[in-house]
Amino acid sequence: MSEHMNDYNIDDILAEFADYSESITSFEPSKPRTESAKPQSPRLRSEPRPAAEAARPREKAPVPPKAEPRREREKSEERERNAPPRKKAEKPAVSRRVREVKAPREYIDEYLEKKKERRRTASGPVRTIVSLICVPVVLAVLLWITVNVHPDAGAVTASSVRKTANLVKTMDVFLNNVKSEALGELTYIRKLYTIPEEAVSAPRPNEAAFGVTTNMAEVQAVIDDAADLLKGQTMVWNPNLDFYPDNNVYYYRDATILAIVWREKINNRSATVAEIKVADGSQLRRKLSEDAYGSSVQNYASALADSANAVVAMNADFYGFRQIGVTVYNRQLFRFSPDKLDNCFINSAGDMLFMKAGSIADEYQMQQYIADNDILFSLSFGPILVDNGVLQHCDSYPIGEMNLEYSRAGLGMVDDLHYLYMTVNHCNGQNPRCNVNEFGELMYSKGCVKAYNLDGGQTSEIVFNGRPINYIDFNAERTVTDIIYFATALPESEVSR
Amino acid sequence: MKNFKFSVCAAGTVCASLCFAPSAFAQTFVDTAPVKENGLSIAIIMLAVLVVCFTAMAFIVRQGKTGHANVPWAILAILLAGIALIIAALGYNVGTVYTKPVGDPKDTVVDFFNAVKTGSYTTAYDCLSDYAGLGLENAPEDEIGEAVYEALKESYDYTIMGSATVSKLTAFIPVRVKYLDIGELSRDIPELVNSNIEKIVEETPRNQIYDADDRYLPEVTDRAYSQAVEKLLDRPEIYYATEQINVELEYENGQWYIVSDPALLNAISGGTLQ
Repeated sequence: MSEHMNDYNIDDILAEFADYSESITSFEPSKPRTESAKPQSPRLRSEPRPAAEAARPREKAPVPPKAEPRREREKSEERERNAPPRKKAEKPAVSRRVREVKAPREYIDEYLEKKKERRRTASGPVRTIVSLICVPVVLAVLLWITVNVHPDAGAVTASSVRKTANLVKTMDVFLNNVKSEALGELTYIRKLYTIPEEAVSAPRPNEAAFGVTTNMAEVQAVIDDAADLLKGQTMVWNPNLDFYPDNNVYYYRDATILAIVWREKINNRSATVAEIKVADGSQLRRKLSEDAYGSSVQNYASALADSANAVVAMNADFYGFRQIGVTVYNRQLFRFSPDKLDNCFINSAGDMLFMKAGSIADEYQMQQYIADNDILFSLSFGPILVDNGVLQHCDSYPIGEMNLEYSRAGLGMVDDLHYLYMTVNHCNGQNPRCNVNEFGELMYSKGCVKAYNLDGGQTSEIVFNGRPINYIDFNAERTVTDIIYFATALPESEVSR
Repeated sequence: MKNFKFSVCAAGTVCASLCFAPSAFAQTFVDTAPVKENGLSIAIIMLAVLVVCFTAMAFIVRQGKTGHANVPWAILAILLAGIALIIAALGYNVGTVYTKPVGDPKDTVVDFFNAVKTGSYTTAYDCLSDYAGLGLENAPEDEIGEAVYEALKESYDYTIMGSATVSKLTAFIPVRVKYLDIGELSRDIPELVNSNIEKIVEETPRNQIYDADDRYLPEVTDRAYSQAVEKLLDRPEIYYATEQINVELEYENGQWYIVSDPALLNAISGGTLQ
C-alpha cells in the first residue's frame, strides 16, 4: 500500500486544496427577501440579562438598515435586472492527477505482479549457483564412470562361476560297481554311489524306507541291518536314553544312508537329536534358496529340504541375514569377511574343517585353502564348540547371543562320515534352553569330536522326511536362505533292488 | 550467461548418458553375450526416458519464450541424451547386433584335445568355458583303476570332420572322438572272472581258496578279477568307441572357449558317466 501512496503528488494535492479554498472565499450568500421578517427587537431593559451575559459589557444592538424609499428601491431593482450576467470566477489552469478508484481485486493483482517481477530479477544469482554446483557434479560422475564402468564389471553370480568335476573319481566308482557285479555271487563287494557335485537335488529317497516307532527293538533292528554301512562304528543312539514321553523315534535306512531322529532330555534340556551315517561325502550337501548365492528369496527349511530330496535336513548359517563371514558354495568363494566369525568348511570327503576368526589374511590365501583342501562349501556362524575331541569355551562372540538362554542348533561329527544334528528348544515351555557354551557341552557329551554352532532361535530346526521334528520357537517355521542336508545316493533305479 | 548455464547442464547430461552407452555397446558389439533383461522392464525404462525428455523439451521451449534458454541447442542436447539412454537400455535386451570375433574356433578344439592326449590338463581346462577342472590329473584308487585309466588315456584321439559354423558369438565344429569304452569292456569281465576262478580252483590248494565258511578268500576273487581286466586290456582296440560330437564354442573375452556337453565329458571319461 505504501507504493500506492507514492503515486500521490504533494504539489498536486496542495494545488487542489488551494483551488478549493479559493472557491470558498469568493462565495457571497444571497440576501433574504422575506417582508415578513421583522427586525429583531432589542431586548427590553426590563428583562434581566442572563448570568453569562451579565459580565459581558452590553453590546449595542445592531442598527437595522434603513428602509429605502420606495422609488429608490424600484430603481435599484431595475438596475439589477438590466445588469449583465455575472461571470463565474475562472479557475486557474493547474494540472492535477486524478486518483483512479480501483476495485480491491485489481490492487491485489497489481501487487502480485510486482512481486513476480521482483522474483525474476532476484533469481539470477541462485540459478548461477545451482549451475556451478551441477558442473562439478557432472564432471565427477563422468570421472567415476570412466574409471569404474566397463563391460566386465559386476558381482560374481552363480551363473558366471565355472564348475568342477572329478571324472577320475566317477571312473573309480564305476569300476568298483563293475567289480561288485562281477563278483556278486562269489563274494560281497559293496557298491559305491555318489551324488554329482553340480546336482541341485539328490535322488529321491525310498518312501518305504522311512519309519516311525516307539519300539526300541525295531530301531535296534534297523541299526543292525545297517552294519555294513556303519563298518563297526558305534551309534550314539541307544535304547537307554532319557527319551521324552511321546518318545517317537524316526528312521530311514538304505544302502547309502542311515538316519535316526529322536527327542531326549539332556541335563534338563529338551534336545532333538538326528544321527546320520552316510556312505559317501557327497551325501552331506548344502542348499541355497533358488540354488544361487545372493538370492533375495527365502523359504521354509522344510520346503528347501523337500525340493532337495533330503532325508534329514537342518538350518545352516542363514548367510543372507548378515554381511560377515566366509561363504563358499560349489567350491567358489562368494564372500570373504573372515575377521569376526569362526568358519566351518566341508570337503568332498565329508570332513569338517575349522578355521578360527581372523586366522587367514587375504582372499588369495582363502582361494588357495579352498583348492588345497578340496572344499565344497562352508558354514559361517560359530563358534566352534568341539575341535579334535576337545571341548572349546568361548567368552564372547559377535553374533548368536551366546550368553543368553536361547534355542540352539549345531552340527557335529562323531566319526568318519558319521554326523550328529542337535537342537535345544523349549518343550511346551517347561524346560530351560541353554547358552552357547552349555550347548557345546551337550554336543560333547554325545561323543562329538567336532561340533559347530549354527544359527539358533526360531531358525533352529531339524526336518525329517519334509517335516519339522523339534519344538520350533513360536511353533512356526521361519523362512531362511539355506539349509544343510543329508541325502541318499542310491539311484531311484536301484531302489527296488 | 543464462544460455551458457543451460548449455553446460545439458552438455553434462549428454556426456553422462553417452558414458553409459559405451558399456552397452561393448556388450552388444564385442565380447560377451549379454544377459537378456526382461522385455517389460526395458519398455518401462524407455517410456520413462521418453517422458523425461519430452518434459525437459517442454520446459526448454517455455524458457525459450522468455529468453532464458537457447532452444535449438538445448533440445538437441536433450534429444542426444535421450537417444543415448534408450540405446543403453536396449543394449542389454537386443543382444548381439554386430560381432567380429577374432581367431579360429578350430584352434581351441585342437588345443583342447591335444592337451588331453598329452596330459597337459591345465591347458585343456583353460579351453573350457564352464568347467574349471575335470579331475583328470587325479590318480585312481587302485591298481586296476590305474591300468584302466592308462589304457583310456592312450586311446584318446580326435578328428575334425568339417569347418566351423560361426553364428555371432557361437560356433560349432563336428569332431569325431575316439576313446576306450570302459562300459563295453566291463560287460566281458564277469565271464572272464568266472573262468579265472575255475582255473584258480584247479591249480591252487583248497586251503588257499576257501575260508572257514567255504567262501572264496578275498585274494582269490581279487586275483580273478585283476586277471580278467588285464587280459581284456591286452587288446583294448576291441573296445574303442568313436562318437561324433558337435563341439559348441562361445566367444568370450577375445577368445573361443569350448562349452562342455555330456557327450564330450562321457567320451573323456571312457563312457563311465552314462
